[in-house]
Amino acid sequence: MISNGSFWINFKIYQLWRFLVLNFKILKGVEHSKRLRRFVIKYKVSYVVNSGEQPPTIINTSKPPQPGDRVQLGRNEVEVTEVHLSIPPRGEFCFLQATCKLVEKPTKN
Amino acid sequence: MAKVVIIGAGFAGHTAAIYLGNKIGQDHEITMVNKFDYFLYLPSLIWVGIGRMKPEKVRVPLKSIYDRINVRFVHGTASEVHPDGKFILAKKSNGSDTIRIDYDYLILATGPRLNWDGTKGLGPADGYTQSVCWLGSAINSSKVYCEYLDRMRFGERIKFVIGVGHPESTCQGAAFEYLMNIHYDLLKLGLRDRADLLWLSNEPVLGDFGVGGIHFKKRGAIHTSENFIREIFRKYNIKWEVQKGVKEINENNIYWEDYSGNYGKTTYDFAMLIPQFRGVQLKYVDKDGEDISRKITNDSGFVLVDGFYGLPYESLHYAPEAWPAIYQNPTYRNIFAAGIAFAPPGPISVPHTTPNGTQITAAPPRTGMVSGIIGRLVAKNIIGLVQGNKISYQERMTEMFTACIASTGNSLWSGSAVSVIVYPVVPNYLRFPNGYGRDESITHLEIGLSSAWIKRIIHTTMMYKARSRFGWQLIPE
Repeated sequence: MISNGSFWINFKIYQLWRFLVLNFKILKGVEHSKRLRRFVIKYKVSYVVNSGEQPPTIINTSKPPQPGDRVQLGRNEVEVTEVHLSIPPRGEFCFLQATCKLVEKPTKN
Repeated sequence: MAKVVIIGAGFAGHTAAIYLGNKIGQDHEITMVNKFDYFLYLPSLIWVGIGRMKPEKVRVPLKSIYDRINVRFVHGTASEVHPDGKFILAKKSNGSDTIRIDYDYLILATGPRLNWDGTKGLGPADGYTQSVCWLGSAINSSKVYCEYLDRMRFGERIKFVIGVGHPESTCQGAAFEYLMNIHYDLLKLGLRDRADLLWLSNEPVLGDFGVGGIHFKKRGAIHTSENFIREIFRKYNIKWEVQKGVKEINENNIYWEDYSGNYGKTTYDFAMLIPQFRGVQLKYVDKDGEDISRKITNDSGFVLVDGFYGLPYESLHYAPEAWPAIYQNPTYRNIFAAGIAFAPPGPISVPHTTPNGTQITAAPPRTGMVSGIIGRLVAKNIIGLVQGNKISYQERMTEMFTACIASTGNSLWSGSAVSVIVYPVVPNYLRFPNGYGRDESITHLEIGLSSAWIKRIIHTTMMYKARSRFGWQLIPE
Protein backbone atom coordinates (compact mmCIF):
# COMPACT_ATOMS: atom_id res chain seq x y z
CA MET A 1 0.00 0.00 0.00
CA ILE A 2 1.31 3.42 -0.94
CA SER A 3 1.06 5.81 1.99
CA ASN A 4 0.84 9.59 2.16
CA GLY A 5 4.08 10.14 4.00
CA SER A 6 5.42 9.96 7.51
CA PHE A 7 3.74 10.42 10.85
CA TRP A 8 5.10 13.95 11.38
CA ILE A 9 3.62 15.31 8.16
CA ASN A 10 0.15 14.94 9.63
CA PHE A 11 0.75 15.17 13.37
CA LYS A 12 -1.51 18.15 14.12
CA ILE A 13 0.22 19.64 17.20
CA TYR A 14 3.64 19.45 15.56
CA GLN A 15 2.19 20.93 12.36
CA LEU A 16 0.67 23.82 14.33
CA TRP A 17 4.17 24.58 15.58
CA ARG A 18 5.56 24.33 12.05
CA PHE A 19 2.77 26.63 10.84
CA LEU A 20 4.02 29.32 13.19
CA VAL A 21 7.66 28.72 12.26
CA LEU A 22 6.94 28.87 8.52
CA ASN A 23 4.89 32.04 8.84
CA PHE A 24 7.73 33.58 10.84
CA LYS A 25 10.19 32.61 8.11
CA ILE A 26 7.97 34.09 5.41
CA LEU A 27 7.55 37.36 7.32
CA LYS A 28 11.30 37.47 8.00
CA GLY A 29 11.97 37.01 4.28
CA VAL A 30 9.49 39.75 3.34
CA GLU A 31 11.09 42.09 5.92
CA HIS A 32 14.63 41.28 4.75
CA SER A 33 13.64 41.97 1.19
CA LYS A 34 12.11 45.33 2.21
CA ARG A 35 15.05 46.43 4.37
CA LEU A 36 17.64 45.42 1.85
CA ARG A 37 20.32 47.93 1.05
CA ARG A 38 19.84 48.47 -2.62
CA PHE A 39 22.85 48.18 -4.84
CA VAL A 40 23.49 51.41 -6.66
CA ILE A 41 25.41 50.53 -9.80
CA LYS A 42 28.37 52.70 -10.57
CA TYR A 43 28.71 52.99 -14.32
CA LYS A 44 32.11 53.81 -15.72
CA VAL A 45 31.33 55.20 -19.14
CA SER A 46 33.97 55.75 -21.77
CA TYR A 47 32.72 58.41 -24.21
CA VAL A 48 34.35 58.13 -27.63
CA VAL A 49 33.64 60.78 -30.25
CA ASN A 50 33.64 59.44 -33.80
CA SER A 51 35.21 62.45 -35.47
CA GLY A 52 38.18 62.41 -33.10
CA GLU A 53 37.76 66.09 -32.25
CA GLN A 54 37.38 65.20 -28.60
CA PRO A 55 39.71 62.83 -26.73
CA PRO A 56 38.01 59.79 -25.12
CA THR A 57 36.67 60.69 -21.70
CA ILE A 58 35.72 58.42 -18.80
CA ILE A 59 32.89 59.59 -16.56
CA ASN A 60 31.51 57.84 -13.48
CA THR A 61 27.73 57.98 -13.30
CA SER A 62 24.84 56.28 -11.55
CA LYS A 63 22.66 56.19 -14.66
CA PRO A 64 23.66 54.44 -17.89
CA PRO A 65 23.61 56.64 -21.00
CA GLN A 66 21.09 55.90 -23.73
CA PRO A 67 21.25 56.64 -27.47
CA GLY A 68 20.01 60.19 -27.98
CA ASP A 69 21.30 61.49 -24.63
CA ARG A 70 23.37 64.68 -24.78
CA VAL A 71 26.47 64.99 -22.62
CA GLN A 72 28.84 67.91 -22.07
CA LEU A 73 32.46 66.79 -22.51
CA GLY A 74 34.74 69.74 -21.80
CA ARG A 75 33.71 72.51 -24.15
CA ASN A 76 31.90 70.19 -26.56
CA GLU A 77 28.38 68.89 -26.34
CA VAL A 78 28.01 65.40 -27.77
CA GLU A 79 25.10 63.14 -28.56
CA VAL A 80 25.27 59.43 -27.72
CA THR A 81 24.66 57.27 -30.78
CA GLU A 82 25.48 53.79 -29.47
CA VAL A 83 26.12 52.18 -26.09
CA HIS A 84 28.11 48.96 -25.69
CA LEU A 85 28.74 46.86 -22.63
CA SER A 86 32.54 46.65 -22.61
CA ILE A 87 32.90 44.48 -19.50
CA PRO A 88 29.98 42.58 -17.95
CA PRO A 89 28.82 44.04 -14.63
CA ARG A 90 30.76 42.82 -11.61
CA GLY A 91 29.07 43.52 -8.32
CA GLU A 92 28.37 47.22 -8.21
CA PHE A 93 30.52 48.15 -11.20
CA CYS A 94 29.63 48.21 -14.84
CA PHE A 95 31.79 49.39 -17.72
CA LEU A 96 30.17 50.89 -20.79
CA GLN A 97 31.42 52.45 -23.96
CA ALA A 98 29.34 55.18 -25.52
CA THR A 99 29.99 56.19 -29.10
CA CYS A 100 29.07 59.83 -29.69
CA LYS A 101 28.93 62.52 -32.32
CA LEU A 102 29.50 66.21 -31.82
CA VAL A 103 26.40 68.34 -31.60
CA GLU A 104 26.68 71.11 -34.12
CA LYS A 105 26.21 74.51 -32.58
CA PRO A 106 23.67 76.75 -34.34
CA THR A 107 25.45 79.32 -36.51
CA LYS A 108 25.04 82.94 -35.56
CA ASN A 109 23.74 85.24 -38.30
CA MET B 1 -3.93 64.38 -16.46
CA ALA B 2 -1.71 61.35 -17.15
CA LYS B 3 -2.97 58.31 -18.99
CA VAL B 4 -1.76 54.90 -17.88
CA VAL B 5 -2.67 51.80 -19.86
CA ILE B 6 -2.14 48.27 -18.55
CA ILE B 7 -2.35 45.28 -20.87
CA GLY B 8 -3.16 42.07 -19.01
CA ALA B 9 -4.94 41.48 -15.71
CA GLY B 10 -2.86 38.64 -14.31
CA PHE B 11 -0.89 38.84 -11.07
CA ALA B 12 1.36 41.66 -12.28
CA GLY B 13 -1.19 43.67 -14.25
CA HIS B 14 -4.02 43.40 -11.75
CA THR B 15 -1.73 44.27 -8.83
CA ALA B 16 -0.50 47.32 -10.75
CA ALA B 17 -4.09 48.30 -11.56
CA ILE B 18 -5.30 48.22 -7.96
CA TYR B 19 -2.28 50.23 -6.75
CA LEU B 20 -2.66 52.80 -9.52
CA GLY B 21 -6.45 52.99 -9.26
CA ASN B 22 -6.48 53.45 -5.51
CA LYS B 23 -3.68 56.01 -5.51
CA ILE B 24 -4.16 58.15 -8.62
CA GLY B 25 -7.32 56.78 -10.24
CA GLN B 26 -9.42 59.81 -9.33
CA ASP B 27 -7.13 62.39 -10.92
CA HIS B 28 -5.65 60.40 -13.78
CA GLU B 29 -6.92 58.00 -16.40
CA ILE B 30 -6.04 54.36 -15.72
CA THR B 31 -7.14 51.83 -18.33
CA MET B 32 -6.94 48.07 -18.14
CA VAL B 33 -7.18 46.03 -21.33
CA ASN B 34 -7.75 42.33 -20.76
CA LYS B 35 -8.89 39.47 -22.93
CA PHE B 36 -11.08 38.06 -20.15
CA ASP B 37 -13.46 39.88 -17.84
CA TYR B 38 -12.13 38.14 -14.74
CA PHE B 39 -8.93 37.78 -12.76
CA LEU B 40 -7.86 34.16 -12.61
CA TYR B 41 -6.05 32.79 -9.57
CA LEU B 42 -3.79 30.42 -11.50
CA PRO B 43 -2.09 28.60 -8.57
CA SER B 44 -5.37 26.89 -7.65
CA LEU B 45 -5.99 25.51 -11.14
CA ILE B 46 -4.24 22.31 -10.10
CA TRP B 47 -7.26 21.62 -7.89
CA VAL B 48 -9.70 22.52 -10.69
CA GLY B 49 -7.73 20.13 -12.90
CA ILE B 50 -8.68 17.14 -10.75
CA GLY B 51 -12.20 18.36 -10.00
CA ARG B 52 -11.47 19.26 -6.38
CA MET B 53 -12.26 22.97 -6.72
CA LYS B 54 -15.09 24.69 -8.54
CA PRO B 55 -14.03 27.09 -11.33
CA GLU B 56 -15.92 30.02 -9.75
CA LYS B 57 -13.62 29.78 -6.71
CA VAL B 58 -10.62 30.85 -8.78
CA ARG B 59 -12.26 33.72 -10.67
CA VAL B 60 -12.86 37.32 -9.66
CA PRO B 61 -14.96 39.54 -11.99
CA LEU B 62 -12.96 42.64 -12.88
CA LYS B 63 -15.48 45.26 -14.00
CA SER B 64 -17.09 45.86 -10.60
CA ILE B 65 -13.70 46.14 -8.88
CA TYR B 66 -12.32 48.57 -11.44
CA ASP B 67 -15.48 50.72 -11.31
CA ARG B 68 -14.91 51.08 -7.57
CA ILE B 69 -11.25 52.12 -7.87
CA ASN B 70 -11.58 54.40 -10.92
CA VAL B 71 -9.96 52.11 -13.44
CA ARG B 72 -11.53 52.00 -16.90
CA PHE B 73 -11.90 48.41 -18.04
CA VAL B 74 -11.70 47.44 -21.71
CA HIS B 75 -12.72 43.84 -22.28
CA GLY B 76 -10.71 43.11 -25.38
CA THR B 77 -7.40 42.07 -26.89
CA ALA B 78 -4.56 44.49 -27.55
CA SER B 79 -3.07 43.95 -30.99
CA GLU B 80 -0.71 46.84 -31.73
CA VAL B 81 1.47 49.20 -29.74
CA HIS B 82 2.56 52.50 -31.33
CA PRO B 83 5.33 53.73 -29.02
CA ASP B 84 6.03 56.90 -31.04
CA GLY B 85 2.39 57.92 -31.19
CA LYS B 86 1.86 56.67 -27.61
CA PHE B 87 -1.25 54.66 -28.30
CA ILE B 88 -2.36 51.05 -28.55
CA LEU B 89 -4.97 49.37 -30.69
CA ALA B 90 -7.32 46.88 -29.11
CA LYS B 91 -10.16 44.80 -30.44
CA LYS B 92 -13.14 44.66 -28.11
CA SER B 93 -14.34 41.18 -27.21
CA ASN B 94 -17.91 41.92 -28.33
CA GLY B 95 -16.64 41.96 -31.89
CA SER B 96 -16.92 45.71 -32.46
CA ASP B 97 -14.27 47.66 -34.28
CA THR B 98 -10.72 48.14 -33.15
CA ILE B 99 -10.37 51.00 -30.70
CA ARG B 100 -7.45 53.35 -30.09
CA ILE B 101 -6.32 53.97 -26.51
CA ASP B 102 -3.78 56.73 -25.86
CA TYR B 103 -1.26 56.48 -23.07
CA ASP B 104 1.51 58.37 -21.35
CA TYR B 105 2.72 55.23 -19.58
CA LEU B 106 2.19 51.67 -20.71
CA ILE B 107 2.51 48.53 -18.60
CA LEU B 108 2.86 45.32 -20.56
CA ALA B 109 1.71 42.57 -18.23
CA THR B 110 0.53 40.17 -20.86
CA GLY B 111 1.81 37.00 -19.24
CA PRO B 112 3.10 34.23 -21.50
CA ARG B 113 1.94 32.88 -24.81
CA LEU B 114 1.69 29.14 -24.41
CA ASN B 115 3.71 27.80 -27.33
CA TRP B 116 1.78 24.62 -28.08
CA ASP B 117 3.20 24.61 -31.60
CA GLY B 118 6.71 24.25 -30.15
CA THR B 119 6.10 20.53 -29.57
CA LYS B 120 4.16 18.46 -32.08
CA GLY B 121 1.18 16.75 -30.47
CA LEU B 122 1.28 18.83 -27.29
CA GLY B 123 -1.78 20.45 -25.78
CA PRO B 124 -5.48 19.87 -25.39
CA ALA B 125 -6.54 21.66 -28.60
CA ASP B 126 -4.54 20.01 -31.37
CA GLY B 127 -2.61 17.47 -29.35
CA TYR B 128 -2.99 14.57 -26.98
CA THR B 129 -2.01 16.03 -23.60
CA GLN B 130 -3.91 17.90 -20.92
CA SER B 131 -3.14 21.29 -19.42
CA VAL B 132 -3.76 23.20 -16.19
CA CYS B 133 -2.35 26.46 -17.56
CA TRP B 134 -5.74 28.07 -18.13
CA LEU B 135 -9.25 27.71 -16.75
CA GLY B 136 -10.91 26.08 -19.75
CA SER B 137 -8.12 23.56 -20.16
CA ALA B 138 -8.08 22.81 -16.42
CA ILE B 139 -11.84 22.08 -16.48
CA ASN B 140 -11.29 19.85 -19.50
CA SER B 141 -8.40 18.10 -17.73
CA SER B 142 -10.63 17.30 -14.77
CA LYS B 143 -13.21 15.71 -17.10
CA VAL B 144 -10.58 13.55 -18.78
CA TYR B 145 -9.08 12.69 -15.39
CA CYS B 146 -12.51 11.56 -14.14
CA GLU B 147 -12.90 9.32 -17.20
CA TYR B 148 -9.60 7.67 -16.32
CA LEU B 149 -10.77 7.25 -12.72
CA ASP B 150 -13.77 5.31 -14.03
CA ARG B 151 -11.51 3.10 -16.09
CA MET B 152 -9.36 2.45 -13.03
CA ARG B 153 -12.46 1.52 -11.04
CA PHE B 154 -13.05 -1.20 -13.63
CA GLY B 155 -9.59 -2.55 -12.87
CA GLU B 156 -7.54 -0.93 -15.62
CA ARG B 157 -3.99 0.20 -14.83
CA ILE B 158 -3.29 3.78 -15.94
CA LYS B 159 0.02 5.53 -16.45
CA PHE B 160 0.05 9.23 -15.61
CA VAL B 161 2.94 11.29 -17.00
CA ILE B 162 3.23 14.80 -15.60
CA GLY B 163 5.97 17.34 -16.23
CA VAL B 164 7.09 19.66 -18.99
CA GLY B 165 6.54 19.27 -22.71
CA HIS B 166 9.37 21.23 -24.29
CA PRO B 167 13.17 21.28 -23.84
CA GLU B 168 12.95 24.94 -22.72
CA SER B 169 9.80 24.85 -20.63
CA THR B 170 9.47 26.40 -17.21
CA CYS B 171 6.88 26.29 -14.39
CA GLN B 172 7.90 22.84 -13.14
CA GLY B 173 6.33 23.79 -9.78
CA ALA B 174 2.78 23.74 -11.16
CA ALA B 175 3.37 20.37 -12.81
CA PHE B 176 4.82 19.03 -9.54
CA GLU B 177 1.72 20.21 -7.65
CA TYR B 178 -0.58 18.58 -10.16
CA LEU B 179 1.33 15.31 -9.96
CA MET B 180 1.25 15.30 -6.16
CA ASN B 181 -2.47 16.14 -6.08
CA ILE B 182 -3.22 13.28 -8.46
CA HIS B 183 -1.27 11.00 -6.12
CA TYR B 184 -3.20 12.26 -3.10
CA ASP B 185 -6.57 12.07 -4.86
CA LEU B 186 -5.95 8.51 -6.05
CA LEU B 187 -4.86 7.56 -2.56
CA LYS B 188 -8.09 8.93 -1.08
CA LEU B 189 -10.17 7.14 -3.70
CA GLY B 190 -8.35 3.87 -3.05
CA LEU B 191 -7.08 3.74 -6.64
CA ARG B 192 -3.44 4.60 -6.14
CA ASP B 193 -2.35 0.96 -6.51
CA ARG B 194 -3.75 0.93 -10.06
CA ALA B 195 -1.76 3.96 -11.19
CA ASP B 196 1.81 4.50 -12.30
CA LEU B 197 2.97 8.06 -11.79
CA LEU B 198 5.93 9.48 -13.71
CA TRP B 199 7.63 12.88 -13.48
CA LEU B 200 9.14 13.88 -16.83
CA SER B 201 11.21 17.03 -16.85
CA ASN B 202 13.93 19.09 -18.54
CA GLU B 203 15.57 19.93 -15.20
CA PRO B 204 19.30 19.16 -14.87
CA VAL B 205 18.57 17.39 -11.57
CA LEU B 206 15.43 16.48 -9.69
CA GLY B 207 14.20 19.39 -7.56
CA ASP B 208 15.88 22.05 -9.69
CA PHE B 209 12.51 23.74 -10.50
CA GLY B 210 14.22 26.14 -12.89
CA VAL B 211 15.85 28.06 -10.04
CA GLY B 212 19.07 26.06 -9.93
CA GLY B 213 17.90 23.88 -7.04
CA ILE B 214 17.57 24.94 -3.42
CA HIS B 215 19.99 24.41 -0.56
CA PHE B 216 18.62 24.78 2.93
CA LYS B 217 19.72 24.25 6.48
CA LYS B 218 18.02 21.71 8.69
CA ARG B 219 19.34 20.65 12.10
CA GLY B 220 22.71 22.20 11.28
CA ALA B 221 23.24 20.32 8.03
CA ILE B 222 22.82 21.54 4.47
CA HIS B 223 20.17 19.67 2.48
CA THR B 224 19.35 19.92 -1.19
CA SER B 225 16.02 20.10 -2.96
CA GLU B 226 17.23 17.17 -5.08
CA ASN B 227 17.40 14.84 -2.08
CA PHE B 228 14.21 16.29 -0.64
CA ILE B 229 12.11 15.66 -3.78
CA ARG B 230 13.77 12.29 -4.39
CA GLU B 231 12.80 11.24 -0.88
CA ILE B 232 9.18 12.30 -1.47
CA PHE B 233 8.99 10.51 -4.83
CA ARG B 234 10.48 7.34 -3.37
CA LYS B 235 8.10 7.40 -0.42
CA TYR B 236 5.07 7.95 -2.67
CA ASN B 237 6.26 5.50 -5.34
CA ILE B 238 6.51 8.14 -8.05
CA LYS B 239 9.08 7.48 -10.77
CA TRP B 240 11.05 10.26 -12.39
CA GLU B 241 12.98 11.01 -15.56
CA VAL B 242 14.91 14.28 -15.76
CA GLN B 243 17.32 15.84 -18.30
CA LYS B 244 14.81 15.12 -21.04
CA GLY B 245 13.49 17.54 -23.64
CA VAL B 246 10.18 16.46 -25.11
CA LYS B 247 10.22 16.74 -28.90
CA GLU B 248 6.98 15.12 -30.06
CA ILE B 249 3.91 13.37 -28.73
CA ASN B 250 1.47 10.98 -30.33
CA GLU B 251 -1.54 9.27 -28.82
CA ASN B 252 0.54 6.59 -27.06
CA ASN B 253 4.09 7.87 -26.72
CA ILE B 254 6.08 10.89 -25.68
CA TYR B 255 9.28 11.21 -27.72
CA TRP B 256 12.25 12.97 -26.12
CA GLU B 257 15.92 13.69 -26.42
CA ASP B 258 18.11 13.46 -23.32
CA TYR B 259 21.23 15.35 -22.22
CA SER B 260 23.51 12.86 -24.01
CA GLY B 261 21.66 13.35 -27.29
CA ASN B 262 19.94 9.96 -27.14
CA TYR B 263 16.40 9.74 -28.45
CA GLY B 264 13.79 7.70 -26.65
CA LYS B 265 10.12 7.43 -25.82
CA THR B 266 7.88 7.11 -22.81
CA THR B 267 4.44 5.53 -23.01
CA TYR B 268 1.48 7.20 -21.31
CA ASP B 269 -2.28 7.04 -20.83
CA PHE B 270 -2.85 10.48 -19.28
CA ALA B 271 -0.30 13.26 -19.69
CA MET B 272 -0.20 16.85 -18.47
CA LEU B 273 2.88 18.59 -19.81
CA ILE B 274 3.61 22.32 -19.46
CA PRO B 275 4.43 23.96 -22.82
CA GLN B 276 7.19 26.43 -23.56
CA PHE B 277 6.39 30.02 -22.60
CA ARG B 278 6.96 32.77 -25.14
CA GLY B 279 6.07 36.44 -25.21
CA VAL B 280 2.61 37.48 -26.34
CA GLN B 281 2.64 38.48 -30.01
CA LEU B 282 1.88 42.19 -29.98
CA LYS B 283 2.85 44.22 -33.01
CA TYR B 284 5.07 47.23 -32.27
CA VAL B 285 4.85 49.89 -34.95
CA ASP B 286 6.81 53.15 -35.27
CA LYS B 287 5.62 56.46 -36.68
CA ASP B 288 6.49 55.38 -40.24
CA GLY B 289 4.45 52.20 -39.94
CA GLU B 290 7.58 50.00 -39.63
CA ASP B 291 7.56 46.97 -37.37
CA ILE B 292 9.95 47.77 -34.49
CA SER B 293 9.35 44.64 -32.40
CA ARG B 294 13.12 43.96 -32.45
CA LYS B 295 13.69 47.18 -30.51
CA ILE B 296 11.23 46.25 -27.80
CA THR B 297 11.22 42.47 -27.52
CA ASN B 298 13.76 39.65 -27.70
CA ASP B 299 13.58 36.67 -30.08
CA SER B 300 11.08 34.90 -27.84
CA GLY B 301 8.77 37.91 -27.73
CA PHE B 302 9.52 38.96 -24.13
CA VAL B 303 9.88 42.69 -23.51
CA LEU B 304 13.41 44.02 -23.13
CA VAL B 305 13.86 46.03 -19.96
CA ASP B 306 16.76 47.47 -17.97
CA GLY B 307 18.72 44.21 -17.66
CA PHE B 308 22.02 43.36 -19.35
CA TYR B 309 21.31 40.90 -22.10
CA GLY B 310 23.63 38.55 -23.89
CA LEU B 311 25.97 37.71 -21.01
CA PRO B 312 27.21 34.13 -20.98
CA TYR B 313 25.80 32.01 -18.14
CA GLU B 314 29.11 32.04 -16.22
CA SER B 315 29.24 35.86 -16.26
CA LEU B 316 25.57 36.20 -15.41
CA HIS B 317 26.22 33.98 -12.42
CA TYR B 318 28.39 36.65 -10.82
CA ALA B 319 26.50 39.67 -12.09
CA PRO B 320 23.42 40.20 -9.92
CA GLU B 321 23.14 43.67 -11.41
CA ALA B 322 22.47 42.18 -14.81
CA TRP B 323 18.92 41.41 -13.66
CA PRO B 324 16.47 44.26 -14.28
CA ALA B 325 15.66 46.60 -11.39
CA ILE B 326 12.85 48.88 -12.59
CA TYR B 327 11.48 46.87 -15.56
CA GLN B 328 11.59 49.85 -17.91
CA ASN B 329 12.20 49.51 -21.64
CA PRO B 330 15.49 51.26 -22.50
CA THR B 331 14.30 52.54 -25.89
CA TYR B 332 10.86 53.77 -24.86
CA ARG B 333 11.11 54.79 -21.24
CA ASN B 334 7.38 55.15 -20.77
CA ILE B 335 6.94 51.42 -21.44
CA PHE B 336 7.30 48.99 -18.54
CA ALA B 337 6.98 45.22 -18.50
CA ALA B 338 5.81 43.30 -15.45
CA GLY B 339 5.50 39.63 -14.54
CA ILE B 340 6.24 36.98 -17.13
CA ALA B 341 6.18 39.61 -19.93
CA PHE B 342 9.69 40.94 -19.21
CA ALA B 343 12.72 39.29 -20.75
CA PRO B 344 15.05 37.74 -18.16
CA PRO B 345 18.76 38.19 -18.99
CA GLY B 346 19.34 34.43 -18.96
CA PRO B 347 18.47 31.16 -17.26
CA ILE B 348 18.88 30.52 -13.54
CA SER B 349 19.32 26.79 -14.05
CA VAL B 350 22.47 25.45 -15.66
CA PRO B 351 21.90 25.51 -19.42
CA HIS B 352 22.69 22.44 -21.50
CA THR B 353 23.15 21.80 -25.20
CA THR B 354 23.02 18.22 -26.40
CA PRO B 355 25.54 16.84 -28.94
CA ASN B 356 22.74 17.25 -31.51
CA GLY B 357 22.53 20.96 -30.72
CA THR B 358 19.25 20.88 -28.80
CA GLN B 359 19.04 23.32 -25.91
CA ILE B 360 17.60 21.56 -22.85
CA THR B 361 17.35 24.30 -20.27
CA ALA B 362 14.68 25.03 -17.70
CA ALA B 363 13.67 28.67 -18.27
CA PRO B 364 13.49 31.00 -15.23
CA PRO B 365 10.11 30.77 -13.51
CA ARG B 366 8.25 33.90 -12.40
CA THR B 367 5.73 32.86 -9.81
CA GLY B 368 2.62 34.75 -8.74
CA MET B 369 4.47 36.40 -5.87
CA VAL B 370 7.35 37.57 -8.09
CA SER B 371 4.89 38.89 -10.69
CA GLY B 372 2.86 40.66 -8.01
CA ILE B 373 5.96 42.30 -6.53
CA ILE B 374 7.04 43.54 -9.97
CA GLY B 375 3.51 44.79 -10.67
CA ARG B 376 3.49 46.76 -7.41
CA LEU B 377 6.98 48.15 -8.07
CA VAL B 378 6.10 49.31 -11.59
CA ALA B 379 2.84 50.87 -10.34
CA LYS B 380 4.65 52.75 -7.55
CA ASN B 381 7.28 54.04 -9.97
CA ILE B 382 4.61 55.25 -12.39
CA ILE B 383 2.84 56.97 -9.48
CA GLY B 384 6.21 58.60 -8.70
CA LEU B 385 6.64 59.70 -12.31
CA VAL B 386 3.13 61.11 -12.50
CA GLN B 387 3.34 62.93 -9.18
CA GLY B 388 6.97 64.00 -8.98
CA ASN B 389 8.67 62.85 -12.16
CA LYS B 390 10.95 60.39 -10.40
CA ILE B 391 11.48 56.65 -10.07
CA SER B 392 12.17 55.61 -6.48
CA TYR B 393 11.72 51.86 -6.30
CA GLN B 394 13.79 49.03 -7.64
CA GLU B 395 13.97 45.33 -6.89
CA ARG B 396 15.89 42.76 -8.83
CA MET B 397 15.12 39.06 -8.75
CA THR B 398 18.59 38.74 -7.20
CA GLU B 399 17.22 40.73 -4.22
CA MET B 400 13.69 39.43 -4.20
CA PHE B 401 12.13 37.10 -1.66
CA THR B 402 9.51 34.58 -2.67
CA ALA B 403 7.47 31.87 -1.04
CA CYS B 404 5.88 29.22 -3.21
CA ILE B 405 3.57 26.73 -1.57
CA ALA B 406 3.16 23.63 -3.69
CA SER B 407 0.11 21.63 -2.75
CA THR B 408 0.56 17.89 -2.34
CA GLY B 409 -2.99 17.21 -1.15
CA ASN B 410 -5.80 19.76 -0.79
CA SER B 411 -7.43 18.62 2.47
CA LEU B 412 -7.03 20.86 5.53
CA TRP B 413 -7.14 17.78 7.78
CA SER B 414 -5.12 15.12 6.01
CA GLY B 415 -3.54 17.04 3.12
CA SER B 416 -0.07 18.47 2.85
CA ALA B 417 2.02 20.89 0.84
CA VAL B 418 5.64 21.73 0.22
CA SER B 419 6.70 25.19 1.39
CA VAL B 420 9.42 26.51 -0.88
CA ILE B 421 10.82 29.64 0.74
CA VAL B 422 13.57 31.19 -1.34
CA TYR B 423 15.64 34.28 -0.75
CA PRO B 424 16.70 35.60 -3.17
CA VAL B 425 14.89 34.07 -6.14
CA VAL B 426 17.99 34.28 -8.35
CA PRO B 427 21.15 33.22 -6.48
CA ASN B 428 23.29 36.21 -5.58
CA TYR B 429 26.81 34.88 -5.11
CA LEU B 430 28.23 38.28 -4.24
CA ARG B 431 25.83 39.01 -1.42
CA PHE B 432 25.74 35.43 -0.13
CA PRO B 433 29.19 33.93 -0.80
CA ASN B 434 28.26 30.56 0.74
CA GLY B 435 28.43 28.66 -2.54
CA TYR B 436 24.65 28.60 -2.96
CA GLY B 437 23.99 32.32 -3.41
CA ARG B 438 21.05 32.32 -1.03
CA ASP B 439 20.40 33.23 2.59
CA GLU B 440 20.57 29.95 4.54
CA SER B 441 18.63 31.33 7.49
CA ILE B 442 15.57 32.07 5.34
CA THR B 443 15.68 29.66 2.39
CA HIS B 444 13.75 26.58 3.41
CA LEU B 445 11.94 23.54 2.10
CA GLU B 446 9.42 21.58 4.13
CA ILE B 447 6.48 19.26 3.59
CA GLY B 448 3.57 19.00 5.95
CA LEU B 449 -0.02 19.78 6.81
CA SER B 450 0.98 23.24 8.04
CA SER B 451 1.96 24.18 4.47
CA ALA B 452 -1.47 23.04 3.25
CA TRP B 453 -3.01 25.48 5.75
CA ILE B 454 -0.73 28.25 4.46
CA LYS B 455 -1.64 27.37 0.87
CA ARG B 456 -5.36 27.70 1.65
CA ILE B 457 -4.80 30.95 3.59
CA ILE B 458 -2.86 32.37 0.65
CA HIS B 459 -5.69 31.39 -1.73
CA THR B 460 -8.27 33.14 0.47
CA THR B 461 -6.21 36.28 1.14
CA MET B 462 -5.13 36.64 -2.48
CA MET B 463 -8.74 36.42 -3.67
CA TYR B 464 -9.60 39.07 -1.05
CA LYS B 465 -6.76 41.27 -2.23
CA ALA B 466 -7.75 40.80 -5.88
CA ARG B 467 -11.17 42.23 -4.96
CA SER B 468 -9.39 45.30 -3.54
CA ARG B 469 -11.39 45.12 -0.33
CA PHE B 470 -10.67 47.02 2.90
CA GLY B 471 -7.07 46.61 4.07
CA TRP B 472 -5.84 44.88 0.90
CA GLN B 473 -2.58 46.86 1.06
CA LEU B 474 -1.61 44.95 4.22
CA ILE B 475 -1.54 41.62 2.38
CA PRO B 476 1.88 40.98 0.82
CA GLU B 477 1.98 40.01 -2.86
